[in-house]
Order: sequence, then structure tokens, then C-alpha cells
Amino acid sequence: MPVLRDASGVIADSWIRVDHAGEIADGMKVILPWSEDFAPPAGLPSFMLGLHLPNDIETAKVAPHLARLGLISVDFPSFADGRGFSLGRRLRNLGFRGRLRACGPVIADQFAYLLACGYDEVETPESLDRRQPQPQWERALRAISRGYQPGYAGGRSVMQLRHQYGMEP
Amino acid sequence: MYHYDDFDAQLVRERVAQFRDQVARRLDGSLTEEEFKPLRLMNGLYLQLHAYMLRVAIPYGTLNSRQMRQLAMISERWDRGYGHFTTRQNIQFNWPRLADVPDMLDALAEVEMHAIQSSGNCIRNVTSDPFAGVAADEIEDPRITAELLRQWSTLHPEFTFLGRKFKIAVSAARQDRAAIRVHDIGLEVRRDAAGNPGYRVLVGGGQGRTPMIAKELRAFLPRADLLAYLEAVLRVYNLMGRRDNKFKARIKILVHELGIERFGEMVESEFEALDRSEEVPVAAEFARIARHFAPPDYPPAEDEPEALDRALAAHSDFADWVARNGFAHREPGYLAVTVSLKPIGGAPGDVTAEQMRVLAEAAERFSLGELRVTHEQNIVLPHVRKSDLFALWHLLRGHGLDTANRGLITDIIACPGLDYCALATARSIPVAQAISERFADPARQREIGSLSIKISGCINACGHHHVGAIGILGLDRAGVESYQITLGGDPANEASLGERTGPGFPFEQVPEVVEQIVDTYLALRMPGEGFLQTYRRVGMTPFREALYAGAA
Amino acid sequence: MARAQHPVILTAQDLIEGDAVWWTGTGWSRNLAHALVYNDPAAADAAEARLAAEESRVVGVYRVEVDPAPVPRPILRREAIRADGRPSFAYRPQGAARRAA
Repeated sequence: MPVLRDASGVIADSWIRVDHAGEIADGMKVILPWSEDFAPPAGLPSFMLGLHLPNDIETAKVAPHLARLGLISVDFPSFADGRGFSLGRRLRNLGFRGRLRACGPVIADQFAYLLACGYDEVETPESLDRRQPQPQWERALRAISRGYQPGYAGGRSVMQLRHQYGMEP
Repeated sequence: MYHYDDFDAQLVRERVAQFRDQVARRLDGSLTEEEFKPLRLMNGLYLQLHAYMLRVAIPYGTLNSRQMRQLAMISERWDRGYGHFTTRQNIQFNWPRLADVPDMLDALAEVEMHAIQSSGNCIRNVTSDPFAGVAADEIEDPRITAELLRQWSTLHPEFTFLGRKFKIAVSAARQDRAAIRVHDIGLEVRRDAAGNPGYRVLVGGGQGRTPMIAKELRAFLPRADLLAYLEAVLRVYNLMGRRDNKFKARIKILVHELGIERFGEMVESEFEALDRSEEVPVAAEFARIARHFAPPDYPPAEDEPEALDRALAAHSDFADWVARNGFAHREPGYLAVTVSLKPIGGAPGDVTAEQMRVLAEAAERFSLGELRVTHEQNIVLPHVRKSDLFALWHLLRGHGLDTANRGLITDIIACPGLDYCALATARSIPVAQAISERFADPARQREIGSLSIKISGCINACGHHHVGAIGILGLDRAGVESYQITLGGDPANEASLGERTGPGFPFEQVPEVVEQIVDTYLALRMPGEGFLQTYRRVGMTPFREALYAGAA
Repeated sequence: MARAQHPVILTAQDLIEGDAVWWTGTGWSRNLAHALVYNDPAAADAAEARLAAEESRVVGVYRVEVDPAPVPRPILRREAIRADGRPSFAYRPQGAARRAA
């Protein structure tokens, strides 16, 4: 089974991936795959509706639905394919406030960058977890105390600390 | 020059510890080689033909005596006692062991240096004018912007797994000495009509397999928008750039395929939509960094010291060296001096630990402690009092660092080539050595005048052959080296890519081919004309005739 | 990739040292003379695939065409330079020393 984790540690996955709206049962929180004719199923509240996006999606196509989505899962086909970092930023920039998940064989060393780009959680294959168990992900989050880039670290970037808070490290 | 504050120092220390952990996790199997490779590359560590290679960043080519001494120490303690200065103003160590690299990085951090993003598919070391702070034609010191961008691009959460490497260069002078037109982004400091500072933004230049001259993306970008605008450019590139083919993954291909207008629209719309609520005013950070680049307190110096005149008159070697390797300084009584790393028959850009210490001493005694690395693989001592020139020359002369050939035919740029590099298809340094020996006579070099030869050992063009007046590209033709020649390349304001003469030549013939090109030029040049001017006037035909007359 | 007329040997780089190592049939050696020469391309294919898949202390397994006798000598210049373990010119400037080969 894939492993799901956020900044607090490994967490249970309350979402179920389904192939189409017909599979949705009462009370299920579902993640639907993206399709060109996607429309949020009627009657499903946003906190129960998730959408899985390929990393080459035109964001304009998904933008109208953002307010109806409780979760967006972004596909990372390989850890080296960094499009998802920018896609996450862009989705946040467009005002998406739901849960943002990176899904694929990303590595522990990317965890902090994913969170900085607006992701909340990471879903990785079970095989990866055997090599990179939870302590490595926790260590990766602590490795760099603060980056330079304003806007990527919740007010704690070096440039913000230098100029907005006048702080010394 | 810039000095780390505690934030900078902490980040570099933490990056070393992180890399040490990554090495340990590679060795214990937590990371596969496939996963480790991009992590080590973005920390400057390659696996080359014979060994690992560590590329240390020298941001915008500026370093001080203490740093140069530390490089010497590192080369002796963990490598083989020498280093190689590169065309990207960096230094490479060719023989480290993987397990030693974290200790080397610790030693670098002690002197405010690192290897962060000197390789990998991320934003690379920002390059600039080696005569920054010296040249009279400068609007401001370009290193302020370059340092701002170094920090902004360091461990950037969004742009560390790009489709391909991304290189930025900054120029702030009328004469472009940073080759900004052959970079992914080239920035030229300008002021608008009201005198406000900003940038002309060029995009999509580059060398490699598909060389291109950059196009103008913005005629004027206000300084306040610099970081946000670059974020928009990088985001469009990261999302839209090709990932299906490594050789089509650079931003130049995206710009070319979309067209500069369409690409520009996408950038502008991304830029307009950015959430800038957490932004720090660029002006504040710029001002903080600018304080580090305030002009040094120049000790008083005579503009025309009598002792210098006597030395120039008495020692023609010295006079040649000053005339050739000197560069006008805007401070009266001072001169910037290029220390050539191109002795006749040497490996371009290589220096021994002992020479590094001599350079450190020279900087300390004669250049206010500062040195620059040039993309021509030489060193510049930026602030030399004219009255100290003779003593400096003596010091350098004792260590083979007095070659008077800046910009001449023996001042050859060459990549490491087949002798070191895992990607190379042909030898590069031995070609440079053979040409250098062929044209060893200083009088003949002076007669030929300024002429840049640039040699790459493969299509990736690390030796910048596309922008050499004479470019030499070594290829593999069914197991045999073959060298393609291009003429007319120029990296500066009139940027142009060299044109191929025709079929390639075998290794042994290259010096003779260069000789024929030079002879053709000498026969055709008008008084006062340089090689590029003659070439632009007469075109390829006479050169082609000279080279292939006997063929077919 | 290998042209049929030349035998091949298998090579890789040591994970820690980074230098070239040669497959002897039972392990990796720094001595080219100990390399196992494959005259049968199918056997070389099989061994290369197996070694590349193994989690081990070497990186980048590939094959090199050689003249087999008296000791294997790579045909291509690149591989000959690599097998020598040093550049083809007097690369180390005077006075340099410490970590000698």
C-alpha cells in the first residue's frame, strides 16, 4: 500500500481513488481522475471531492473547479520531473485552499521543497518506504532551517527575516 | 566583496551536513544511484572518466586571498595538488573520493564558499563581468545583482528539478564582458528615462547542440520586479519546457518553438497573476548587498609613477606584459591585470596549489586582497597600483604566471575534453597545447593580434566554440576524432555564432589548419583590422578556399 | 552496440573512489589484466545485465571492446585513456602531489 505522510508524520488516507463518478458510494471521500469533460458530481460537497491531475495540465481548465475541490492530487511520474512543484505553486496562486497532495515516487530529500511549494502531503509507493522510512523524511524537513525565497516558507524566509522582522538568526 | 551574514553561513553549513547525510544514505542503500545522481550534481559532484570531480562555485568569479589559499589547501589535502578554472568562473578538482567530499565542503564553508548548484538541472552559478567595479564603462557593480540572484536561486524550492540546467549572466557595462547573449537569461543593467534602475532582459540564448543568440524579453524591467519576474519566467519554463528530449529541454528551445512574442505573453500573464503579498522590497535587499560592494579605500597612487616608466623602458618583457595584460582601471594610479593561465603548451585554466598560493599572495600584497576568475579561464588582479606592477610581475614570473598573451591566439579556451570528461567525444586540451606551441613566438602572436580560439571536446560546447573567432569542435567519427572548425563567433555586444568551414580535420592536422586560417587573415586584413572585422568583411569564401584547396 | 569482431570486457566505476574497475568473473578488480574477456556476445550481455541490476559498490556498468592479448587493451581512444586512469598528457603540474594514483 502506498504511504501517505504530511509534516506531522505518516497519516491514514481517508480518501478513495475511483475511476469515475459512478463508483461513488454514500459517505465516500473520493479522488477522481482528471478528464477533459470533468465536472464536479452534483450533490457531493467539496470536502468529499478530490481530483487527480497530470503534471502537464493546463491550469486554466481546472481553475473554474477549484472552489469545489477538497483535495487535489498532483502526479509526479518521476522524482526528477519537477513540473509538479510549479503546478502546486500555481494552484495555490489561483486560490486553491484545499488539501494538496504530491503523488508518486518523490524522495525524502524533496519533502521540504514540496511543502514550501504549497503541498500538504505526499503519497509515495510502498517500495520507496522500505529504503526511505519515516525518520529520513523527518530529518529532511529539519535539514535546512530557512531558505532565502520570500513567499515559500510562511514568512520565515531569510529575506523576510532580514527586512521585515529585522531578526538575527 | 560580499561577506556572509549568519543566515548565509548557517545555510551553507546546513547544506554540507545535508550532503554528508545524503552520501551516507547512498552508501547504506537508502538512495539508489539514480536518486543520488541529481542530488550530488546539484552539489557540484560529477562522476567523470577517471574519478569524481567536484566543481566549486565562485559566484560571479570573485574571490579573496584567503579563499584562494583554502582552495590550494583543499587541492593538496583531498586532491592531486592542482585545480582547473572553468569557463563558468568556477574551479574544478578532478580526483576527490566520494567519502571525502563532505569534508572538502566543510573546508569551503570555512571561507564562505560552496559547491551548491554548480551542476544539475537547476539555476547555476550566476556569472558576470570579471572587471566589475573596475571598468570605466560600468553603470553600477553587476555583482550586486548577481549576489541577489545567487541567494534567490539557492535551494529554490520550486526550481531545483527543472527540465535542464539554467544559466543567468549579468552585465552592467556598455561592453558586454559576461556573454549575456549566450545565456538562458541575460540581464543588462540599465536606467529608464527618469533614471530609475532596472534591467534589459534577454532570454533563450545558449550554446550546446543548438546554439542561439538570446532574444529581448523586456526592454526595461524595473528593479523592484526583478525576482518576481524571474519567478514568472522560470515557472513558465518549468511547466512548459520539453521533458521528452534532453537536447530540447533548454529554455532556448521553448522560446524558439513558441516564438518570443507568445513566450513573452505567457511570462507577462504569469507575472501579473503572482501573489506578491509576502515579497520583500528588492530595493532593501539590493541596498544591503550593495554595501558589500562599495568601492574599496584605494591607497593613494601616482597615475604615472616614474619608477614604472623606468622599468617599462628597461624590461621589454615587462612592458609587453603590462601592455597586453593590463586593463584600464577607473581609479587613477591603478590598473587591473590579467594573470594568464595559458602558458605555452600548458593545460588552459590549470593551476597548481603552489601557484594558487602565489596568486593569493599577489592579491594580498598588490590587489587589496581580491581576485577574479574570468570565463576565459584566467585570473584577474583587479586593483593593482601602477607603482606595484614591476614587483607583481617579478613575483608572478618566478612561478610561470607571467605569460603576456591575454586575448592573443595562445590565450585558448578549452574544456577538459576526452582526457577527463565522461561526455567528451574528442581530446580538447592536447589540441590547445599543440596550437599554443605552434604559435609560441610572442612577436608572431602580437603580429596576429587579438584572436580567440575556443575548443570543445563535444557538442555540449563547454569550451564555447560557437563564440570563438576560431571555434574548434571535437567529434567522434566511427571511433576517430574529427575536428570541425567554425569562424566568426563572438560572445560580446555584436554576438554572433561561428560558421562551419566544411568537413572536419583529424587531430594531427588542427594546428596546420589554424595556421592556414591565420595566414589567410594576415594576407587579407586591412590596416588596423582585427580577425573578426576582416572575417565579417571578406566572408567565409577565402578561408574555405585556403583550407580545402587541395581537396576533392 | 559492440561490433562483433572484438571481444569485450565489462567495466564500471567504484562507488567510493570513482575509479575504473574491471569484472574478473568473480568480482571487480582495478587491474585490467585481470578482466574477464568475453568472446561470446550473448554471455557478455547476460553478465552485463546481471551486474547492472545488482545493488553494489560500483556505478555504471558497461562493456568495452578490446584487443584481448597479451592483456586486454581497449580499442577506442576514450576507453584507452580511461583504462590508463589518467589524462593522455602530462597533466599534473610540477609540485603537485598528495593523493597520487
